[in-house]
Amino acid sequence: MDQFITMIITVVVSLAAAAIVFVGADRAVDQAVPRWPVFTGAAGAVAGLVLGAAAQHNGWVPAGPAVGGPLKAGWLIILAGAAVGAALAAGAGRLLQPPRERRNAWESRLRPWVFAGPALAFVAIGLVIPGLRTVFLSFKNGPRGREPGFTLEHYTDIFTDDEYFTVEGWAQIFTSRLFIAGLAAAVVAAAAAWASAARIVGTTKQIAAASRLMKALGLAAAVLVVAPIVGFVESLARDPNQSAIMDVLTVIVSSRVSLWVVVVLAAGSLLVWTLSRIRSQRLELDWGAPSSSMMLALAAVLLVFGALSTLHAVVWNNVWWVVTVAGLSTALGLMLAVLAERARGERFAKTLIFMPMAISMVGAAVIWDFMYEVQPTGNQTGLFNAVLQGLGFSSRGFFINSSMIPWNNFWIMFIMVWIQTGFAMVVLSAAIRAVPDELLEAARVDGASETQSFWRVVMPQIRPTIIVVVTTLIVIVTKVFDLVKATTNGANRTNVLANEMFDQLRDRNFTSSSAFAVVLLALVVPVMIFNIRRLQKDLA
Amino acid sequence: MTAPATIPPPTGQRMRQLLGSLPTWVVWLVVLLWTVPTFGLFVSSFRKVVDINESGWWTAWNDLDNLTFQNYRDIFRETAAQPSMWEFALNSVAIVIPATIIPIAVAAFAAYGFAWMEFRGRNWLFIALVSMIALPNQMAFVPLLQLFNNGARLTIPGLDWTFVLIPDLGIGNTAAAVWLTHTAFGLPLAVLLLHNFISQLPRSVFEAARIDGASHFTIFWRLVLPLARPALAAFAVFQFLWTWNDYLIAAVLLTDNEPMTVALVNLVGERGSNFQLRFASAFVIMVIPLIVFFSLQRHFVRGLLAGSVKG
Repeated sequence: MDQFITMIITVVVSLAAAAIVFVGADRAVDQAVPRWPVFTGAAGAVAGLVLGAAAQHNGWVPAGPAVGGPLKAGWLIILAGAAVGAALAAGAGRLLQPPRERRNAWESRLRPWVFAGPALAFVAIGLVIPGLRTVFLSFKNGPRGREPGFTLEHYTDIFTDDEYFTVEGWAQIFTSRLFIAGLAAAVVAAAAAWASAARIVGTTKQIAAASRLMKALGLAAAVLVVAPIVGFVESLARDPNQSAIMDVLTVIVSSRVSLWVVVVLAAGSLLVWTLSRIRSQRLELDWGAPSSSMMLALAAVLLVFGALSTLHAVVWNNVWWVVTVAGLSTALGLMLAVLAERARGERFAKTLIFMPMAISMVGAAVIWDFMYEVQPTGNQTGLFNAVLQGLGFSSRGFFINSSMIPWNNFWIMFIMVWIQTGFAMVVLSAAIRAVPDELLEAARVDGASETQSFWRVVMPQIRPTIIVVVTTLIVIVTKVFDLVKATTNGANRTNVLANEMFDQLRDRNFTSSSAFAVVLLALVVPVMIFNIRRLQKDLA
Repeated sequence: MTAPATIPPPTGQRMRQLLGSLPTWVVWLVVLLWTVPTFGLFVSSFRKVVDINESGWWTAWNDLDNLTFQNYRDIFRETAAQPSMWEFALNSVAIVIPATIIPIAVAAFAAYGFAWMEFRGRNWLFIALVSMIALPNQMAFVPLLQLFNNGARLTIPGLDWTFVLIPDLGIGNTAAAVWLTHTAFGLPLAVLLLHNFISQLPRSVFEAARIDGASHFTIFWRLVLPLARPALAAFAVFQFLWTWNDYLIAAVLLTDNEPMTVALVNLVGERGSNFQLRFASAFVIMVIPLIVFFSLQRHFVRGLLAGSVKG
């Protein structure tokens, strides 16, 4: 309760103090034109106050005998500084009074700083200077940075420790099934892009080839959808220690039929594509077509998952987090934004999907930890394992067991997707609503189907918003901490940079903690530069 | 005018109806997956520890008599091992209220200054301020911890001369340290949100007021603040949720008088014991943000859009 009363007093006192300082500064600037000495006197008082405080705390002036009561000698020095400063400056202002235009200039030049100054000071003291000091500390000797001299040790510690950063086993990326499937998907995407372009602007022969290709690609897509579903159900019974998502992804390639279909189609379409390019004029590839852009997205996901699930170290794990959560949340949010417009109870559904945004990460961790709960024997009390048990499959410890590595990471990432999808959905659905009706009307008049007008009209219009959503998510996910702390605390190779930074800080290793913070910063610097460019464009 | 009735074949119509309702099915399936976990937590918070460990929460319907308020009674009761949840709740409030009010006050002035005053370096400073949104908070923790605990000193390298820039204010390990940090971290977004709104106000309003001889302060106080109320509310909801749900900053800066999130993580950390209490605690923490969210959702969405769609 004491804490509570103190808080109320603090709020009232700090708001009152801020108001007095602000109004005082504003009034002082008011005086610059009519009564110049008053203005200089006020400025002098502030300067004297600061100098007096500096003198007092640094012992420049010998502290006199204590006056007693609240008015300690230290305060006397500060007040004396203010009084002397005010008197000197007011006197100087009286003697040297600038002409009226100059005084007007002073007034209008200083006024903005009265308004913007407090915010700038807060950010400078609370963010910018500490940020610079963190960079400085990360190069200092000793755990607290007190020892003289500089070192790169804290960075070399990070980048030579296999736990934090390693490229060991990178060659396995290229043999990982996910990666090969990703390459195949990329080729299919290119073929689809060509086919789409050929259909729009190609020669008769190209159009014929394109429609054959499109049919084949449609078949491939059907196989890609059906095979994993069949394989998923099959594999659940077969290999209990593999995670479900791993099953879905491996089955795409591991079930022989779908692998052959994809490889043959990829090779075949590559052949058709190159032949047609040689025989006739070059076509600008149509990456914006639904088939090609969706295939391209699938290819990117498979390639990234293939690479980042093979490399295991804290830094890679952090990158994997960013790619997975930013990608999945945006894709899912976009899908829901589009579907919700055609669904019943749109507003209510959106509110419920959006709700996790209000739940703390710590609360979300508790919620999902319970959903993923696994019991060694008896009834499963975690919902997901109970469903698996009910279907006759064996249970799995989603992120508890080391047998899940590296896919235990995915199940923690999914909690973040659960939180952030609502954000992506709300922002993107507002952007879709903002697409001018005339554009859609024009597309309809030209005979575009609903799918076509979404991919060709809406998508280009909302692209800037998609980029904003993705960059915002990158910034949020890079510093992910609470979720990992409250679920696994970094065990079983689920550690991330921010958690390591926190642990180093707790152990009072300030310098190596700073080095981890700087590595985090390095990951978001591209986003910061991008944001600055965008702001510059907006303000110009 | 009666158009000749062209009745489509019934099978095609049924097919189309089925396809038309597909979005509804997909969306509500996602809604189910998105809400069931929270609901499960809610149900479990009323169950006894034996029940929680032996059967799923969805079986709670079979014997409603077994539900109990005991978990809630336990977390609000003070024991030797654990203070009551009330204490943590008050600590949270002590951080959240100043951390919500003070940035709004500071940011509103700055947003007006950046939007409607001409000065040299205005765009440059604004961009620098707003780009701090993306700066990871982790970049400031070590120096802020040192500042709150020891003050700040500057040593001039060659001269070996140290002098005090900011004295030790004695706010280390207090709520003030936490809300001051929240204020600094929240300001860039606050300025961006309010600037986007305030700079869109019609120019004519300001010109008329200037001609009438109103000072910037009067314009700000009498015109801008009342007009900007939606934006102020939007940011307030934002900052409230963010500070109430924060775990990191409190965990870094506090070793006692912690808010509820820290208490919950400590509870989760001691795996096994008091397993049943975590659900009630988690729900107690979620209740206030959820109420704020559902009642002020309009403002929250507006803030979200102002911060990301435009800007």
